[in-house]
Amino acid sequence: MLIYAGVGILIGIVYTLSPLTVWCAIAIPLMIWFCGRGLEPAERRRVQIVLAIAIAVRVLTVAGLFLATDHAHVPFGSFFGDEEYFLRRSMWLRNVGLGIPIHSADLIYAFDDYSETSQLYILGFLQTLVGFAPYGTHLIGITLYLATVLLLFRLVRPAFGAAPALLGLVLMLALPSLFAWSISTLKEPLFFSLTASSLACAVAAAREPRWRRKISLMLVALAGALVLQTLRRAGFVLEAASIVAGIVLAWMIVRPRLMIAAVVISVLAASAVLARPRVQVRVADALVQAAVYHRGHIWTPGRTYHLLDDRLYAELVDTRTMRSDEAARFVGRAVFSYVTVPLPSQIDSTAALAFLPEQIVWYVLVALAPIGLVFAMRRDPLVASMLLTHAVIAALLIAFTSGNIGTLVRHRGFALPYLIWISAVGACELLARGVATGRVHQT
Amino acid sequence: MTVIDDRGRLFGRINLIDASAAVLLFVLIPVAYGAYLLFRTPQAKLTSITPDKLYHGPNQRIEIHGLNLRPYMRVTFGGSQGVTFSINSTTSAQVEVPELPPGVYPVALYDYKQEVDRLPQGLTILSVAPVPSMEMEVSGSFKGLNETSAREFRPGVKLVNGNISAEVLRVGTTAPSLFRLAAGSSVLSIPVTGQVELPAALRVRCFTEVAGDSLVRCMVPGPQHPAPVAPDSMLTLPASQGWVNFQIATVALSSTPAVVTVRALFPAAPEIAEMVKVGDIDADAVAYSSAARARVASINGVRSGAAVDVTLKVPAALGPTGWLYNSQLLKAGLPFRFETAGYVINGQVISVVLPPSDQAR
Repeated sequence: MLIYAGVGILIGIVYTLSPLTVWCAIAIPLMIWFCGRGLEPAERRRVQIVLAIAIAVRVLTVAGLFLATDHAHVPFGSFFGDEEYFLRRSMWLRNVGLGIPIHSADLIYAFDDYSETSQLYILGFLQTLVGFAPYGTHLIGITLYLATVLLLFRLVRPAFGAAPALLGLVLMLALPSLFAWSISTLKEPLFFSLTASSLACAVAAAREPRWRRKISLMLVALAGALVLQTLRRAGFVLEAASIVAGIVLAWMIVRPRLMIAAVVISVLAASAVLARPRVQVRVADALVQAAVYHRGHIWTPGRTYHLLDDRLYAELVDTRTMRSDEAARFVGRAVFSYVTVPLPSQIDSTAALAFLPEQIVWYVLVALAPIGLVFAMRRDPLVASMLLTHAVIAALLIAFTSGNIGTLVRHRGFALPYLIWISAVGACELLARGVATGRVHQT
Repeated sequence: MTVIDDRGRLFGRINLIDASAAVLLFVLIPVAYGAYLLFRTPQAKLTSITPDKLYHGPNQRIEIHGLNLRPYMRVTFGGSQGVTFSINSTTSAQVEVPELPPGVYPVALYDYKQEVDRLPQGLTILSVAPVPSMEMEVSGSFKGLNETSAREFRPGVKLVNGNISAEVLRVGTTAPSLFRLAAGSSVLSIPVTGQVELPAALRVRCFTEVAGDSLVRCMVPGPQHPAPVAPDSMLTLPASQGWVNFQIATVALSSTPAVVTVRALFPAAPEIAEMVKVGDIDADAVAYSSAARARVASINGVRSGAAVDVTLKVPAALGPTGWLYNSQLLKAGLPFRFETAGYVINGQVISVVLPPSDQAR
């Protein structure tokens, strides 16, 4: 009885200090339990060990931030510069909502167009419920990220098998760049959570035989895409395009004749449409807009890389003057740079050098992706197609607009969580074939 | 039943030739035409450009208007390609114009491989420098020559470079070079050792310019800047040996002026009155060649009170308010000034006899 009372008092103290910690402490074990459902005991144990380590490392990192912060000088610590801005701004919004007076400058910043996103209101609402939670919001980010990773794990496990699912899970939880934004209060965890949830709902809807349930799941996926729009510009279009393209690809990939016909028709239709000057102008305009975004990144602090010809970086040069050869080079460099940046020649600091191991892993993942795609398509065309379209569309968007190495690495995280599972299939297949070949040689 | 029978009919019903012709006529040709319409990129057309006149200079831009314009097209102006092509829509695009010399240029629109349309005389580049519109005769001397280079200048030689144009009318003999330099309000003659100058009369083309003092001057274009047509002004003129300097001594109108007979009375001391002789020439009228300046035609007598009654032959130009000579209006009752190297007399016009052709005025 005394022990129960002590635990109750301890929970009360912790809840008083950080209510979100308590809620996350309840949610995370539930997630771990849910994730292990239906797995073989040995596999469940492996998954739970991986999860426990991942959670422990993340929580300890947040705790380390708390302990390392000199609260006599700053109100709270943060991992990234933008986090502090996000937390402050969400608090200003909370104060405005509660009628607490704030400085007029803060009022202006609270509703500034810059970085306007629904994430601020979500954080503000959360802190309206539980009070100022500069560290608790990190735990929310961790919980969201873990929940989403587990959702994908549960999606991929029956589709591709135990080994690729476990390998993907480990990579999702261990890759440094994904680790970094999984513990952040930035919008990445929420964005990832919404895209992956929409993907999972779309897959479930496509497989669901009952129409009422199918429509309900599609509506949930659609709702997720709509919320994405409030989180990030063009979020709805990107998610909707990823889902539709994924479903169409999955439907056609198992109908080769239809696919060949569709490819031929697509080529003819594209030729007919692209022959129209109005369409050509729009395509060129989209390319120019991408170049403008890219050029904006070039003028940001940090190490940058060039996609355009040097002429087009002059301040007074209009990007619309891009010629056809320059546009072709821009497209080529964008795709190439997305895969290769940062090259060894672009690593010129110790901090950048620390990124080298992950960059090598990235190269391996990219190399394994085509192999993995073939086997993933054979095992589950729907899941493979969905993962592929989400990765490719996210990658294309970033490839043409990015120009800052740090930002590219961070934004690669939009495609990486989907690419990883496909590459994991490739890695496992190669490994399996290598082991099999070794056995043949031994015999 | 055979597929094609001995009469060439398909399944015994349709003649194979007829069927082929029908398929060609009703299927293949419409399909081909449909495909042509579907996949054909509409021909771009150039309708106009704005502005269609530009002043000569760098960094200029025009907007082309047309139909079915597409990205990545090119525009040329008489063979010189536009620097950039920025598409606005299928009907307009911005084009940066290369620096072109003044003239009229055809504007041609190209797609990635060939010319698709053209506006003949589409763009006019106007000269920023005024085009010389007047001719004046000046006399003076070419400076900084040597005996060899001086021989280049003979009567009839034209000195032309762009819009700088001069013609040698007369030349004298070489003399040691002497520059007339302005030093404050004074004009100094400075000899230049080792160089010779060649006296000459030139006909130069010049353009009018209103100076800061609101007076209209005629300016001769130069490689660096224009020079006014005025005594002591230094013109820079093109020659086969390069640019040469010509310092003006006197200025005259190039056209032959009308000669007006003016009778004037000049009050003067007897000593001065005695100096006035028939044939004396006005030295002050720099606007006229020495052969066509006012001269004393006859002395009609010396009146009491020492006033000289003189008849003058005066070259004059018809102005808006009457005949003008050296900025002096020639009307009875108005003052008249006559100056030679030896004397100056100021008097009053008594009568003006107009040239025969202008008697009716």
